Amino acid sequence: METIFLVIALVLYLASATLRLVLPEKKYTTLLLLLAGLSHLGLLITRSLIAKHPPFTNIYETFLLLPFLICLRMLIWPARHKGSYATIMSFVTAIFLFVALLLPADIKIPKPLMPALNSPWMYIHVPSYFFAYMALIAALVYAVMILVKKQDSIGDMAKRLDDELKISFFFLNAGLITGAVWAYVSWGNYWSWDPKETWALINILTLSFVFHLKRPSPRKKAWILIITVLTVAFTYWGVTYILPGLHSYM
Amino acid sequence: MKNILLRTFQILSIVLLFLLALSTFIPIQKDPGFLYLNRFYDSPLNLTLWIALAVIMIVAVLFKGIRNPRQRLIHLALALIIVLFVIDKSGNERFYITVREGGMVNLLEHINNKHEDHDVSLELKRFEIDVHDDELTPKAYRSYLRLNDDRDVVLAVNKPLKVGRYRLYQSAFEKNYYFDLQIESDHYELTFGDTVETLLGEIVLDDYNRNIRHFRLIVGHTTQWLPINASVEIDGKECGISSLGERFSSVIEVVEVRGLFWLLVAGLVYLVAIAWDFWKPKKSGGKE
Repeated sequence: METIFLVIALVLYLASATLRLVLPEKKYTTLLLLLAGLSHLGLLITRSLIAKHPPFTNIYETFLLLPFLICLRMLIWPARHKGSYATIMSFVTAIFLFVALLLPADIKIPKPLMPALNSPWMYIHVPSYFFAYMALIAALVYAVMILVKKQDSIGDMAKRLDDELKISFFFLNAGLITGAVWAYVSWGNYWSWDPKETWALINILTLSFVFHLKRPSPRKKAWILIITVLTVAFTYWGVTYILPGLHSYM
Repeated sequence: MKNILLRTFQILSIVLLFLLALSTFIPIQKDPGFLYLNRFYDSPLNLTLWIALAVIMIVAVLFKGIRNPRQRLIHLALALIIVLFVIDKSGNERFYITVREGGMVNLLEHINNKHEDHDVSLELKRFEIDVHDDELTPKAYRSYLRLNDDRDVVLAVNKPLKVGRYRLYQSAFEKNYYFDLQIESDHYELTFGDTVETLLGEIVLDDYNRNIRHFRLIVGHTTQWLPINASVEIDGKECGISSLGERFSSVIEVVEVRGLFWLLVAGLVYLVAIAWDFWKPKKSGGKE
């Protein structure tokens, strides 16, 4: 059932993205996106029922939840998702689901939560990071578009990049602070210099450079954002699989 | 001034970023190694860099390197977080105690800064584990404790207990076989590896040989073999050992929590100040 929902959502996202690419008429693309979102919601509900916990406790589940948030964002905020930007975001959503589909079966098997994860703080800490990642993906698309376009054709993309940077910076900090409070409640230690914690701090420090530039420019910010996305990607996948620590259960 | 502070911040942050990232790849060893890199978090260099960042922030606020009031609040809160973090990590005590079912420990025996308020005895009455449907993975576990022989409390994961200026956390658990060692009329409860002071001096319960069904005990500097459920004489004293069965031991982390409330307040102020700065409605035509 879970896989059926996944495949339907993936096909609908791809159809919506392709239609945006070839047809100027946007009425049907929004309808397709809405149907994809509904199927995606069905997928998340099915997964939650099977796993008996919300779908954000391992890599596979994050590959399901993150594109759903992007889809939701596109549906709720259509004014922000127009033209080539909307097409790219639709493809990004499809790529996430495609990777989720291809992940090895042992990663997809729902695992019971360890006792420390049975906490209300999980519902604040993890979503904070998801909002940050969602904004980082949105910012990454703007950053790449700013870097490939000529300076005079950037338009309002610089302002939008700034908005996404602010959202991601705020939620990266919120995730770190709520994680510290949760760790304090669970382990009695709000900060252990665990590799995941250290890298979460590295992400914030790296992104903070966009607010500490002597002569800020959209291109400089775009480069800092790209470096931050690389450190965040390493924090999420690299640290989980390469560096053992308190967060190695993912 | 602003440019100097900005440049110093950038240089310090890049050094810190590089060292922090590098240190996560180096396994922790006893020898701190070059630049303390395998325990960089514990190193004087890490401490110095963070303190330097806090100083830059305070200087920037005091000497108008940062003029926006919301950004001043962000940087002051951040500097306060760094200072309180350093005070907590260098001043507050933390240690583990292990208590088995039926056993008792006293906090005072483990605390460095002894105070009569912390003469608190903990008796583990019972230990309980809930498991998931796979019947293997623990879902939750808890210790039923009696404090000072008069107050029954439950210590569980995610539900710490406050005792004076200390907090107790349910950290982990062990399951071991326990034995009753009898020497003359004295009884000692112990598991493998335990050392007890007895009439015969210090005794370590070392091992059990299944083939001959005897326990190996280290008595002082000699090795003695003791059969299960039978009496033998060691140095003229009648000795016996019998099984008490499997028992849980609860591992409890004890943490001193002075100043942590203010660290939480500083963290919240920092977050609120960021939100205030990022999403404050701009006045039309106004300039920050």
